[in-house]
Amino acid sequence: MSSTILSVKSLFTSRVIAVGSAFKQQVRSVSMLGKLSDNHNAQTNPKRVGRGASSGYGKTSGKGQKGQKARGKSKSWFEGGQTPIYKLFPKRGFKHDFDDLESLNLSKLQHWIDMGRINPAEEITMKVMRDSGVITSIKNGVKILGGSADKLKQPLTIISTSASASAIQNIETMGGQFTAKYYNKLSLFAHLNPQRTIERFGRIPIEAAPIRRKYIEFYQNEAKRGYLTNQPTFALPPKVKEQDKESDQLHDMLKTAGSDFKAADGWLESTIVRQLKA
Amino acid sequence: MFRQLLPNLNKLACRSVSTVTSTSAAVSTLLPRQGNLPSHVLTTLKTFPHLEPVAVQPISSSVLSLPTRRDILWRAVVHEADCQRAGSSNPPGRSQKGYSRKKLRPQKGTGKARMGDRGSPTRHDGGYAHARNAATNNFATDLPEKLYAKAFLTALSSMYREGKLIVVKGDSIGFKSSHERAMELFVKEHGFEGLRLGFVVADVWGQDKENLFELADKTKESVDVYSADEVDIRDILRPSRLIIEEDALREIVEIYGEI
Repeated sequence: MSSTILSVKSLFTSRVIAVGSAFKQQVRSVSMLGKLSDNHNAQTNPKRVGRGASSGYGKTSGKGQKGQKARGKSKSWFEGGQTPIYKLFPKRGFKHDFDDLESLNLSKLQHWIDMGRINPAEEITMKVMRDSGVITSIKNGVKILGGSADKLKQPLTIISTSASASAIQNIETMGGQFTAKYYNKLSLFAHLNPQRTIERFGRIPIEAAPIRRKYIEFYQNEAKRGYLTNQPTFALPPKVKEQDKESDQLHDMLKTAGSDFKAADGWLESTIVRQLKA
Repeated sequence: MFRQLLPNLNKLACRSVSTVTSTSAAVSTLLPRQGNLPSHVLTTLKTFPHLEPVAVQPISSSVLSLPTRRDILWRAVVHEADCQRAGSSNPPGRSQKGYSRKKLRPQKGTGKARMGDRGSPTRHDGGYAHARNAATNNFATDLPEKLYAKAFLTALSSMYREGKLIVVKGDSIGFKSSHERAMELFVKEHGFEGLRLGFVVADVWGQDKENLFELADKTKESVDVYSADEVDIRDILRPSRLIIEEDALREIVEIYGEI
C-alpha cells in the first residue's frame, strides 16, 4: 500500500510548480449559470384569460358583451352581410419583375460637364451623378442613354447599372469607357451614402454579386460591357431545354416497346403510343 | 476542417505581417485607422497532471473568443433543461375511471340540474378534464441548431475569458494510479480545494481513463467527468475549473464549429 502512495506522490514531487503560475492567481467566482437571462421583452407571455377581475381579462375574457363574437366564432373577413372590402376593391393586375432604372441621356451629361458641375477627367459613377445633381434620386440604378452622338465632346469613364447600345457606341467612339456593374439595394445604398452606411451598420458591406441567372447573364455579356465578362467563377449551368424534358422514362420505354405495344381487345390505344407511332 | 481553425504558427505570423487586401476605397478614406480583430487566440496547452505549459496553440476566435451573449446562453440552457425534464403525471380521464357511460338521470322533468355520466369532470369523483395519460410527460422544446452551436462555443469562450478553461495537450487526462489520494493530491497541489471541477475527455476508453472515472466517483471533492460528444452547455458553465483535452476541444469544434 505504501508503495502505491509513494508512486502517487512521485507524480508531483519530481516537478515544482512555477511561482506565480496562472492557477495561484486565479480567483474564485460564481458560475454564470445563475446569472443568465433572455433579453428584456424578448419573449411575450400568452394572455391568460378568465383568471379573475384584477387581471383585466376576467369576467368576459376580453370578449365584450353579448353577440356572436362573445359566444362563439365568426369569420374574420365577415362584415355582417355588408359588401365586404375584398369585393368592393378586388386585387387587379400584377407587378412587373424588372427594376425601374433612372435614365440619363449623354447630352444631359455633356451639358453638366459644360457647366463645370462634373469633372470629365474623373470616373463618373452613380454617386458622382447623384452628388452633382444630374440625377436627383436613384432608386434602383442608372441606365445611360445615347442621345445625339455629336454632342459628346471628350472621352469619359462611366460606371453604372447599364447603358443602351447607342450610348456605349457614342462613349467608345470618343475614346471613353463604359462598365455595367451590378448593385443590389444594400450595395447601392452603401455606394451612394457611405457615411450613412457607416453610421448605420458600422462598416461598409461587401459588394453583392448577382445571384439571379438574369443578372449573371447580363453582367457576363460583353456587348453590355458587363463587369463579369470572362469570369469563370460565375459560370452558369446550361438551361434545360423543353425537348429534353419531354424525353422522360415513359417515352423511352414506349419507344423501345415498338409495335409490340398494343392496346388490349376492346380498348382504345393510348394517345402517347399513337403519337409515337405517327 | 479543423486545420483551418488551428493553422500553423508560421503561417499565422506571415498572415499578420501581410497587409489586409480587398478593403474598399470608401472604408479606407472614412476609417483610416480601422483595425482588424484578431482571428485567433493563443492558447496555452498544459501537461497532465502537472498542468505545466508545454505548447502554444492558436485557436480560432470563433471558438474561444466569442462575445458573452447571456441571452443565447439562457435560451440554450433552458432548452437543455426542458429536454431533460420528465414528468410522471398520469391522471385518469373520464374513460379510465371505470364508471358506466350511462346518463345518470333524464335531461328534463326531474326539477334538478342537467347531469351526464359518472365520469364527468364536474363530479367530485369524476375523471380529469384534458387528462394526459402518457407518462413520462414530454416537456422538450425546440432550438435552432445554429443557435445551440453558437451557445456552445460562447460558453467555452466565456470560461476561457474568465481563466476557468484549462486545455491539456493531446488526450493526456488520466491518472496512473487508482489510489483515492491521487485526486486529492491533484486538487491540493493546484489549489482547487472547494472548487467544482469538470474534466472533458475525448475518448472515455482511452489510457488511464478508468482510474479517472473511479477517482471522480470516490473523491469527496465535486468532480465530474464528461466525454466530448456528450458534454452539454450546463456542464461547461457549472464547474469553477474546466479541464479539457485538446482532442476533446477538437471533437467539439468538429460538432459545433461550422454549423
